[in-house]
Parts: sequence; C-alpha cells; structure tokens
Amino acid sequence: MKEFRGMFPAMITPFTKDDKLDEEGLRGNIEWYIKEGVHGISCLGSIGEYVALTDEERKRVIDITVAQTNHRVPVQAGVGGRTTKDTIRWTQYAKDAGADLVLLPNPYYHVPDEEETYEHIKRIAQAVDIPIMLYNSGARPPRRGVMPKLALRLAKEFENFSYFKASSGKIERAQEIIREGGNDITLFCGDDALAFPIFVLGGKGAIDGAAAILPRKRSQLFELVENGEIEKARELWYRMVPLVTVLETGWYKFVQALKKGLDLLGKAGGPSPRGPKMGLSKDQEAALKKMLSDLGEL
Amino acid sequence: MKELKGTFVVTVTPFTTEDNLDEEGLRGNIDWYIKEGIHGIACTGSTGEFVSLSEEEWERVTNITIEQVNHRVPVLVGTCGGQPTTKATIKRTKYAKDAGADGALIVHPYYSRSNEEELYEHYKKIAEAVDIPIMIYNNPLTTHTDASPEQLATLAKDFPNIRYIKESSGQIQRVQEIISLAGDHVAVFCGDDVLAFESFVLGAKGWIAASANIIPKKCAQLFELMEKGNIAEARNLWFKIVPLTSSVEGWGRLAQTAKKGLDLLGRAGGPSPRGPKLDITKEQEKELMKLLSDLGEL
Repeated sequence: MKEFRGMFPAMITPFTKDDKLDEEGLRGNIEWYIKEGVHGISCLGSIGEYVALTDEERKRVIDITVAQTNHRVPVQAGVGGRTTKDTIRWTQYAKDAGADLVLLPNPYYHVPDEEETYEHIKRIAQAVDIPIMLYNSGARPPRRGVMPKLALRLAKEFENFSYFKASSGKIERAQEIIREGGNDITLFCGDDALAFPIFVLGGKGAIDGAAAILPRKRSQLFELVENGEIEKARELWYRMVPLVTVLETGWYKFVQALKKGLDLLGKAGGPSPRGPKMGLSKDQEAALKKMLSDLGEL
Repeated sequence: MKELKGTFVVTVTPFTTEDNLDEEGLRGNIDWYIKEGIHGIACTGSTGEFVSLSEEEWERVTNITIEQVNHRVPVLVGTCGGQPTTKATIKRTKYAKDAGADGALIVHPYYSRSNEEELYEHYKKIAEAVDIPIMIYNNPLTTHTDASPEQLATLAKDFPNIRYIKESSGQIQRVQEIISLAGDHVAVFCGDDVLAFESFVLGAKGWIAASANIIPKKCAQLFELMEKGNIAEARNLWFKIVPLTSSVEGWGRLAQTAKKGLDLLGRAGGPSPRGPKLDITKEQEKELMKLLSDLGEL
C-alpha cells in the first residue's frame, strides 16, 4: 500500500458572492498548491467547512478535487458524518470517487465515550477498504478526543486504520503515538503551531491549515526536516510562528483568516465563511497583511 | 557573565528518619550528579520541597549546596520566600547572592493568585533590588498564576537581569511563543520532564529536570546530543527515557518519585517527603523499579 507523507494543505471551500460553491476558484487553488510543491491535498476537513455544506456540495468538492488533482499528488477527503451510518456512506463515496485516503473526524456533538468511539471507528474500518486517518480534534473540552492508547489498539486491529492526525494541541500525545505506534500507525500533525517539533519527533506529514496560504514554505519545512537540516528548518519555522500562533490559538478564526489570506494573495478565498462564523476584524486583517508581508508573500 | 545552559538537576532535599535535614546525604547526591555529568544544580525548587522547609533549613540547604558544588557547575537557588511575599523573596534572593549562587530560580507567589499588574511589580522589585541573574519559574499548577508569553517577554525586555524563564505550563507552544517574542532577551529552560526533547528542538537552552535526580547521566546526554546536532541519537535516547520522565511528571508526585528512585539506586532519598505529600503507591514503586531496570540503572 502507498505510504502517504508530507505537507497536505487543508483546503478551504471557496464560495461565490451569492453563496454558491466557487468551482473555478477551487480548481485554481489546487493548481497553485501543486505548483508550489505540496505533497498532497486534503479537502473537507474542519477548515473546508464540511459541516456547513449540503450533501450535494460535499460531493461536488470531492469530485472536483479528485479530477483537478488528477493523480499528481494524493487526495484526502474528509468524511465526517452525523452518525456511524452516515459516515460509512461518505467514506464509501470518497473511495468510489477516487480519493486515496479519508480523514475521519471524531463524531461531533455526541461526545462519545471510549467504547462508542471504538465501535464507531471499527464499523467504518470494516465497511470500507480505504486508508483511514483519524482526525483527533477536541482538546477543548478536554474530555473529548481519542487517547493514544485507544488509537494504538484500533491500529493494531484494523489494517486500514493507519494514520492519526494529531490535533489535540498536546505534543506529548503525538509523541506517544510515534513512539508506540511502530508500523501500525503513522502520525500526521494536525496543529499548525506544532508542525516543526512533530516532524522532528518523527511525524510523517501534516494536514495543515497554514499550507493553504503558505504552501511552498510549509512544504519546504517538511523537506528540510526530512533531510536533517534542522537549523534551517528551525529558522524557517520561527518566521512562521507569529502567524500559526494567531491561527491556532490567538483568534479562533482559522477559516476566516485563511480565506482572507487567499484573497490578499490573489487566490480564491471568497466572502466570509457561512454563519455563524464571521469574518476577521479590521485589526486582524491588518495584522494578517503585515505577517504575510513580513514573510515576503505580499 | 556566565551563560547558564544544559541539564540542571532540581535536587530533592533528603531527610533523616527523625525528619531532620540529611546533610551527608545531600552532599553525597551532589557529588554523584556531578560525577554523572550534570551541567548545573538547582536546589530548593518545588522538588526540593522549599515550601516545607523552615527558614533555617532553607539557608542550610543553600549553603551546603553551594559549598559542596564548589564551582564545579553553576548553582541555581530557589528563592521564593518562606512567606510568598515580595519582601520575603527579596530577602532570600539577597541571601542566595551573598552565599555565592549563580542565579535565582523564582516561582510566582503562590496562594495569592496575583494578577498581571501585581506579578509585574513583584518581579520588578526583585530584579531592581538584587543584581543576580533571575530565572522566572512559570508554574500555573502550583501557584494558580499563569504568566503569558507576552508578559514574560515584557519582563525580560524591561529588566536585564531577568535572563531565564523556566516554563512549566505543560504547553510546548509557550516555549516557542516566548522565544519568538523575546528570544534575544531571555533563554527558555524546559520545566516539564515530558517535554525536554521537544523544548530543545525549539531552541530551549536548558532543562530543569526532576528526573535527573535518578537518571542524571541520561538527562545530561540528551542536551549534549542536541547541542552537537545529533538529532536522531537524541530522539532515540529521549524515546528510551520518556516512559520514566513521564511517570515522574505524570504521577504528580515528583519529589516522592525522585526520593524513592534515589533509595532504589542506593543514594540518599530518605523517608517520605513531609506531609501533606504522601509516598508513591506500592504499584507505582513497582513500576518505577521496572522503568529503572529497563534503562539498565538497576
């Protein structure tokens, strides 16, 4: 089976002014990412606003992403659903559409306990034969999220449950999975503010929001660490720390900042995300502009 | 001025069975740490039970440590006051300076839950009163006071003798945020035995290590490998010792675990720490023995 690795931008889903899916914009963004050297493409994660899309729109995003990428890099599709059954349906859709792997978020709203989480993931892994990356968000509130021990157990039992996107914000959990996971599970970083230390710990890639506006620098970061050029990687990293800090924990406006950033860069960001999310304040927009210009992007 | 760096053991304070200070034991431990290659000694920190010592005992531990070390490595003295006030802390900081300490390790005033302004004034008065390198110790768990990276950066920029931060919030992000905001003014020391390697990767200059009471050589080697740029070997060593360092940190009984470990190794741990602290459980003791023997220490 193919080994996935490297920097995957977590794409936003651009809308037009009349709140329709901006298909041309999405295609243009994908072209740009590939030209900038990303190692894969990820659609329909939290940043892709999967919960705010209709079923029809979600299918379109997967179809367009697979078609436009056209096997140049691997494609990951987010398959979060309301129920286990619904999630299996999305996972099957992604596989049939030609996605290379799926991104499986913790079920939202339900706050499942350990046994429920285990059953949920088990049924999906058994129902659809496609590599699954668990998206472990939910550091807040703290009792949500899949603990390393459960993930390691699932990875031993189900061969296609083979990737873990670490988004709890707690690096020691990622470290435990890298250390204990062996060949059963591969760790990807899912926290933009931790990509560099997680790569040095042995993380094999990232599903990365910042890569949606800094695809080249984020891809270079991964390659520098992979080549053992730690000093250079750290230098590049610290140039990006102010930006990833506000993205992850400073503003709580991740999607909004990426959409605005894409607009500033002349790519397809589009209007504010769908409500209840609201756009950046004027101050935040000015700060974002300054950070992109300090990075030499503007 | 001498630059402090490397792995510092935060020494336990051993007691005799009559609950007196075990002076000979303390001296013997210090010689052993230095023989094992430790880069510095920090006494009367949290692991040294500073809160549980009388004023006279605190002075004796300070004097014995400085005398026994005898300039072979730098000595940091924890100088948070016997009462958690600015005045008592200034008194101890002066005492430490006159006794020959190389720096003062100062945790926030505990119990009083200082706000941002109070904390700023506290450190300002200490920094202005005593000309000694100061390491601010951010431990929100024990002090209920959490200094943000912005506040720590401000203090470091405003007062030239605030030259070090010991970061013990448990969040690796803080290390990179402090370095990003004020890396030219202040050196960050890791203050969390679960995050040492990760902190070094991000550019931390040292580690105040409770685990170094029982595995001083390995804790010192971790820093040396990182400093030489031997990242792969450092990571291997880290993954070997992190089950032990995680237990020391994770059981929440740092002084007890370190003391028990010293006893198991034939050094001076001595009876249980002073109450309300309780000894580690029988199960934890078994686990500790296993961890030490897996590391080839027993």
